[in-house]
Parts: sequence; C-alpha cells; structure tokens
Amino acid sequence: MEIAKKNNDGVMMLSFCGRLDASSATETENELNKIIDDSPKLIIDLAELEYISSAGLRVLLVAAKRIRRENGKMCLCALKDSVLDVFEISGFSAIFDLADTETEALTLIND
Amino acid sequence: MIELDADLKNLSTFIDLAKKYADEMDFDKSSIMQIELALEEAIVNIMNHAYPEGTGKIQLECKIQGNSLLISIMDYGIPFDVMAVEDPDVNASLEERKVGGLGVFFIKKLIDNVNYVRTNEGNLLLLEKIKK
Repeated sequence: MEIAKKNNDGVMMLSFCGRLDASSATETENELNKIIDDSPKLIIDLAELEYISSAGLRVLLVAAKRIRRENGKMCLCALKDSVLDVFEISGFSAIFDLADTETEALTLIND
Repeated sequence: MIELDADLKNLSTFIDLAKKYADEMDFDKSSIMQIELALEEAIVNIMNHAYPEGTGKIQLECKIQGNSLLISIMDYGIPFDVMAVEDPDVNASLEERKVGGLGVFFIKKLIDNVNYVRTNEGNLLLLEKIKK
C-alpha cells in the first residue's frame, strides 16, 4: 500500500492507494504514527483504496483513538463502495467522520 | 489444493487460489471481495490463535458444487473454534470500541454457511459461498 501526503495549512492530506490488509497493516500503522506526531489533524482520501480487512480497520481505529486523545481531528473521504460496505458491516461508518470529497472533508475538519 | 506455511507472505497465494475459483464461477465483484475478506480473516486467525507461537501449515482447498463455492481451510494447531467467538459490539462509540474481534464477525456475515470441525489432526473450517 502507498501513502501520498501533502500539508494543507496544518491539515495533513493523505491518500491511500492499494490494499490495507494484514500484510500492509504494520507498516501503515508506523507511518500513520509518524504523521500524527507531526500533526494530529488529518484527512485520508480513500478513493484509490481497493480493499480493507479487519487488520486495516484496526489501524484506522488505533489512529482515531490516538487523535481523539490528542484533541486532533481525522476525516476519511471518497470511499469506494466495496470499502464502504466493510465500514458499514463493522459499524465503523458510525464512528468515523466520512465525507464524499476532499473539499467536504476540509470543511468538516476546520469546523 | 495447496499447503503452505501460516505466514503473511503466503496470504496472497491463498487468496489468489480462492479468487481463481470465484472468477471461474462468475461471482460478482462484491461477492469476490467478500470471499477474499473472509479468507484473509480465517488465515490471520489461524496465525494468531492456532499457531500463537511459531508457525505451522495451512491447507486450503476449493471446490465448486452447483452454485456453491466450498472452501476448506485446515490447520494443525491448537483448537480454535470461530463459532465460539462473541460478536463485537458494532454500535459502540469510538472510545468504547475495542480493537479487534472483527475478523470472525466478517466471516459469519459474509459467508452463507460456516462450519467448524475439530478433527484428530487440527482445526477444519468450512466456508460455503452461494452464488445468487
């Protein structure tokens, strides 16, 4: 899995590309922790995320819990239908801030 | 049928085998992803629970029977009955939400019939995905 990142006025804009599964979970978790060390405000664009399993959801949950503790904010956007299905079955769609587009996510984050 | 070490490096080989059968049966895209997801969860559970220390083998066999894809996953580790695992609370808030416990839940949700058998040799998990 690839993570692209850019800084937009203090908000880290990430974009995940590929598969967030048991094979890529540890590396992604380490990378996210480094990013949160710099900024606890982040938007993750999932438009190019093809697949997520429980190992991947766990990484996002751990990040969201840490961000909450550090009074930051995290928003996920542009989920593919297949990925959204997994969020819905697991109840994760109710515990994460989800947006359709990056612009909408920026509004949510800066609210 | 393949038998490989219970190691993450083999995960994609296991999944590719099941996908090959699912493609052959012309399952729709979303069902193929469900099969993939359930199989990943089953294999990761074996690594964590059947072989908590060190590793062992996982045997995967796929069969087509009418409208069903039958997937059998065998390991030779300590007993782990997926049917006995409690469902996570999917309505919990972010603070209360526990990390983990979702894998078995996905298997039960996404697969039509799930059976667990403890044999003399080890754990046998049987998954049946029906093409609708």
